Amino acid sequence: MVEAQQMSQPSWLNESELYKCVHCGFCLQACPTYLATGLETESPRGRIALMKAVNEGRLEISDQVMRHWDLCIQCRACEDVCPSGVPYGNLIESTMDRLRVHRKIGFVPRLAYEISLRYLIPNQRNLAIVFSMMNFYIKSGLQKLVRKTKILKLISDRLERLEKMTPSINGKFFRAQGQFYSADVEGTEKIQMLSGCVMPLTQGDQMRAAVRMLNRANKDVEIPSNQGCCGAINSHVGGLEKAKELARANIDAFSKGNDSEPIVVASAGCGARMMEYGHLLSDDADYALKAVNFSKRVVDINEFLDQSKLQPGEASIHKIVTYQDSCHLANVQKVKDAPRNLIKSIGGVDFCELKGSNVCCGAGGTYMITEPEMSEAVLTEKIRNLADSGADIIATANPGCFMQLDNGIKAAGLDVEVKYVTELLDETYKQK
Amino acid sequence: MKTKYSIDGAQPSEGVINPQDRDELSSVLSDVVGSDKVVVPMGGATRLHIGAKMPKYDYALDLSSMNQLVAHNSADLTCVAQSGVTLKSLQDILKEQGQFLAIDAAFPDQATIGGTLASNAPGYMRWQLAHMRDMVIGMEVVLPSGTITKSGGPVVKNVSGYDMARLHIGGYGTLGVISEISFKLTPLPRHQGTFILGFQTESDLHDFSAEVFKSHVMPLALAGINSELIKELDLNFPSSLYLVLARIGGRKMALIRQRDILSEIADHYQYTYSDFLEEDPSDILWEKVRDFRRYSSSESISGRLFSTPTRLRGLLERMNEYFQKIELNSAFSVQPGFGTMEFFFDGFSRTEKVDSENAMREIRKIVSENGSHLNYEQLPTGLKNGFNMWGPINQGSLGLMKSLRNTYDPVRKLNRGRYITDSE
Amino acid sequence: MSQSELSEINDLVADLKNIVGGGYVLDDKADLLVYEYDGSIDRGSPVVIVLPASATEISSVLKLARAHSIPVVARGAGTGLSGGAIAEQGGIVISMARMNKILEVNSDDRYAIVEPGVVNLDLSTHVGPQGLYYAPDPSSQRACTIGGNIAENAGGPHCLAYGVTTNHVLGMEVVLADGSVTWFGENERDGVGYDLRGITIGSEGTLAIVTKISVRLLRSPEHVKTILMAFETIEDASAAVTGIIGAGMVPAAIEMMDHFCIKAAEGAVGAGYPEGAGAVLLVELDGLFEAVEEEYEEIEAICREFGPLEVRVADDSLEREKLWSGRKGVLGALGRLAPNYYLVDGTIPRTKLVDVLRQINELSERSGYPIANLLHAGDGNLHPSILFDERKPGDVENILAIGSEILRICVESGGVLSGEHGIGLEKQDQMPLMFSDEDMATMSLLKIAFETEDLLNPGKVFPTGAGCGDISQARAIARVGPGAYI
Repeated sequence: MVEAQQMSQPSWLNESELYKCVHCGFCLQACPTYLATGLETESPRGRIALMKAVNEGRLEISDQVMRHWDLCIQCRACEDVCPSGVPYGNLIESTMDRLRVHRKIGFVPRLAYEISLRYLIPNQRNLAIVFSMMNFYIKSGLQKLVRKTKILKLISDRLERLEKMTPSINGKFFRAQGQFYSADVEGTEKIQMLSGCVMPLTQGDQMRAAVRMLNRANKDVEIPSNQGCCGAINSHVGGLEKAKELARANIDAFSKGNDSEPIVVASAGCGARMMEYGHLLSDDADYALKAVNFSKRVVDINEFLDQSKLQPGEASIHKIVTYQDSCHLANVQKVKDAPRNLIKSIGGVDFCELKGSNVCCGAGGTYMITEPEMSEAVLTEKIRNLADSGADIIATANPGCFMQLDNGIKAAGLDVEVKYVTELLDETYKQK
Repeated sequence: MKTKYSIDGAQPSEGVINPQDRDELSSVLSDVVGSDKVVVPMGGATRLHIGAKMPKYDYALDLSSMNQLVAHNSADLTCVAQSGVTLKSLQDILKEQGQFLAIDAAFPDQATIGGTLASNAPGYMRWQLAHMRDMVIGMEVVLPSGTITKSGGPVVKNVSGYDMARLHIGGYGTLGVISEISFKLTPLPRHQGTFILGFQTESDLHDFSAEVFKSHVMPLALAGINSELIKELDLNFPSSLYLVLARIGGRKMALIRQRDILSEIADHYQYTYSDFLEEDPSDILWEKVRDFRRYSSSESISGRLFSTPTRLRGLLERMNEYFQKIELNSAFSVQPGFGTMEFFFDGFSRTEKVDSENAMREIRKIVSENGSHLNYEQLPTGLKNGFNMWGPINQGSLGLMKSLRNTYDPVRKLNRGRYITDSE
Repeated sequence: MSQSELSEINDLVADLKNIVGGGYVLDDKADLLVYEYDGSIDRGSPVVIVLPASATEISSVLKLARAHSIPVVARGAGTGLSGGAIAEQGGIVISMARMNKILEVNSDDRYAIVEPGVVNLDLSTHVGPQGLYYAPDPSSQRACTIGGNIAENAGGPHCLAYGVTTNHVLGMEVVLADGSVTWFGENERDGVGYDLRGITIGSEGTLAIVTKISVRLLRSPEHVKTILMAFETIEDASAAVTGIIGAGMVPAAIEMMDHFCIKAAEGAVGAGYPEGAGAVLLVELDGLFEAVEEEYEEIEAICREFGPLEVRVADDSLEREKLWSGRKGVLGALGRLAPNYYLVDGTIPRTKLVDVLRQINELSERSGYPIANLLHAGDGNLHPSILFDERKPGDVENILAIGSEILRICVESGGVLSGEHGIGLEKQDQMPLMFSDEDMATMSLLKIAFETEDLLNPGKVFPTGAGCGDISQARAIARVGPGAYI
């Protein structure tokens, strides 16, 4: 640390956090990219060692060095097993942010990248247009044609792989901003809910199921207007300023009427991001306190339903069901038992634990698009374990995981359905 | 004339040395013995018949005077003893404190702990199926040069420096002379007894043993013996071709439960005999089995075989076929859980159909084909010349063993020509 | 680096690429940086890292290294605490990360054959459904590899009853320094000739490189019971340990914590230890149901003699986990008492517990540095942790001296320098406390017999020279994550 002080360049890293790592190596087996490669450079300990080396002036940031950080899926499983309590998430987030100035990328990719992050993901209306186009592509039969003719392969393998990731659109979009869903019973508590960015477009049905479940748990659900993307995607790829902007907007949106009601979140990644607004805005004089208070209100829907002790409906599901931990639910929010408890509470379900259920599936938000090779390598192992498990249904709690698993299952030709935990619960209330 | 010091009929040409302590032992090796002389370290001389015939035998180095128990830290379950202590005298002292050393070599009233370790003679007691070497936690060794060295110590958990003691266990005194040993001790079971089952077929013997090891019974010892040995030991177990002896121990309820489990397993078999011996009768039975070589003669051929539980089964079948073919009756005892076997048969003089050396080679071939290993431990002196008693071993290991021998005893002062390293 | 050295390295890298394939040879600056450490505080940069897939490839690498006279260090997961996997003298690091397959499980003969890169816990998880497990359970078992365990002869809390790594290895395939490949022992539990297997285990990678391992598997116990006992003083707790062992009982594990640890754990985990407890014992029994219950009754009776403040018992896994939580979280919790701690590893005869702990306590009072004691008490393995603040001038020097003094107390009480972390770089200069020059010379003759030309993990285990004691020991500080269960 002495060397660090002598550096001319101010560090972008919090040294007291960075030097908590004593390189014991307990994180290795928790890291999906280390498991896939066996390389120390692709491990949390290695990535931290590289940060230290740069911080101490022993290493220049080069394209090769950046690759190692870029390959991090940011699942944060390493934090969960770290005996020293290294806040790896903070470290990698500020590193990614810093890297933006070092990147040499072409004009077109850069433009696409900036447009997505600045105008698409944060803007529900623009995003909806894109997904409507996707919906048309799928429903019109164009997708079938493209896949059958393998026309994209002629252009590039990468493009063909990207096409395969086109998400399926489940039902109508969930356009719910400003809506109020009453439980229609006396003496209910009101809660607020995040509608999100991608999830209401790709998984409208599941969002509606989530609202129904909350109503059944005797909660009135308000979806405040003017809310937006939680900022997770921006922070992962190194757009902390935009992420902060989004965070401030959400804090305002969710504090208009009442700033003490629980904020229930149905996608694990968003919940995790929102729980850390306190850290994200700790330097913001106006918002630091509000952010801390906001973060305390955030609760994942699985945790919320599990604590509500709501009994599932009467219909039983006679299937073997397994559960894939959504990384940001398990590792950041530390919610592991709740989704399992909910699944097990369903009549007829034969729950089996998936081997390596706590290892990331490789989705990582936009990671599956930006790092398709590694994403696929990680997914392959996951799908192999899934095939071995004999499960009929794999449940999860986050849209990224949902899409990634769905893609993997289809590619492998497995006869397994992907479901949200809340969606499964909702099915128990359906009339036979 | 056969004395304690006879080896293959030869006496030590320069006489017997009886060191009283480590310093005497050290000065004997460094000063008394000339560089071309050959010294044979020994304890109770119960296993001197093992190994190739030595071309030269100058001194018998008798360690039986170094017979002090240096320390018995009974509350720590450890002890330190000089290598010339006999197994029996040690066990007697330990027994007073309700403890024992989980090493159960034959002829314990003569066999010393040093000799037992050096000649790798473990016996039947298998605490948690561990090896005799697992009971050793420290060792002092006097090198052929006279240098006194130690490794390990009287603590049960230790990763300080190389684990040198390992080299001398089964090293037949070819790298140095063991002078003192630290042992890890085991509490004596409060009660013990032996469950006996008689079978008509060998496959029942193996099946039963396999089931025992799949159950939650943890036998102190488990052995199978054949009719020839039953006859030799003069045991009265009518109409059984094979016997399984399962020695179990523990507190009252644990013993009853283990006995019940064994009975339940036994019910799956058509056994011809069943009994349970408690305490003393059980002890006496095991002493007989343990010392079975007492019943062999100087013309007998005996061997020890190293295998795995499942391979042992096929191996026995093949060996029996062969013995039948050449009309030999072999007495054997197997430890199915451990995968080892000891056997002996009287010399080939009874039958003129086979050439002895050919038969021994044939048996070794059967063993090798099975992927197992065989040492001949005893051969009539006439057969020893030119026959390698040591089982074959891979070239890489053998090369390294020879290199170790050259490093620690370059002039082959100890046991020259006797051990596997000294074969051509 | 001179021009000729550079070109030699380039040649070496090219040759290595021919052996294992280009993708498995790493020599980028970033690569060298992340292979310079293990779980200790030492550093040593290799020249190149290779990730071979087979013994044949390792054999070629060793032949090449010998031709270049360049050192080779084998590396598992790099979790060791004594610097065993560090390329102290540069050279080639052989990472076992790709050799991580469980090759065979034989449930009838109860053995498994694994490659050295297999993670310790993965083996037990793999054979668990067959009612078997691999007994050695070092605290890093979620990450450390069986190959690394072999190098350091690793232990674990449950080695009290079941023994350390060497007691569980039947045989192994090794590559010798000249590149020849051979087996030491096989799947048999006994064999012919010197115990080459035994001498290689715990040799910290200085004699041979292990490429396949045959380990024995044990049957999972029918019943497990954990007992937590709180005592007023550490003397009472130590006496209870001696009482248990002296009465002829060897539980699966006996762990102890003193009042510092209790205070810290209480604050962090809220384990609910009784107020005023000077020491807590955690005893685990396993085996046949009746055996466990009968032994439990006796142990409880023995402990009652020493007036425990409280006795708590757990039979199911959830409850057991609760009792263990305080123990497992204690290192992390020590951070609440002081900014830094120096964890010492030594073993003493179990009957000396009271005496040695008293001496350590006196040392603490004399020096003014608090020393928290957590112990694998059942096998006499101490982990005194000296609390200090590295920012205070003189603190580091002082606690190093205290650490040395503690090791000296251990050795004088008939104990040893290391119970489970190994000598490596950390304690090589303390070896003379325990061994004479003749002892060490005799040990290092093994390198001659194995004809290693001192190219296998050189510079480890044996002292490097006088006056370096404090330097090498300094490496030990703060090397253990505070949440690690050691």
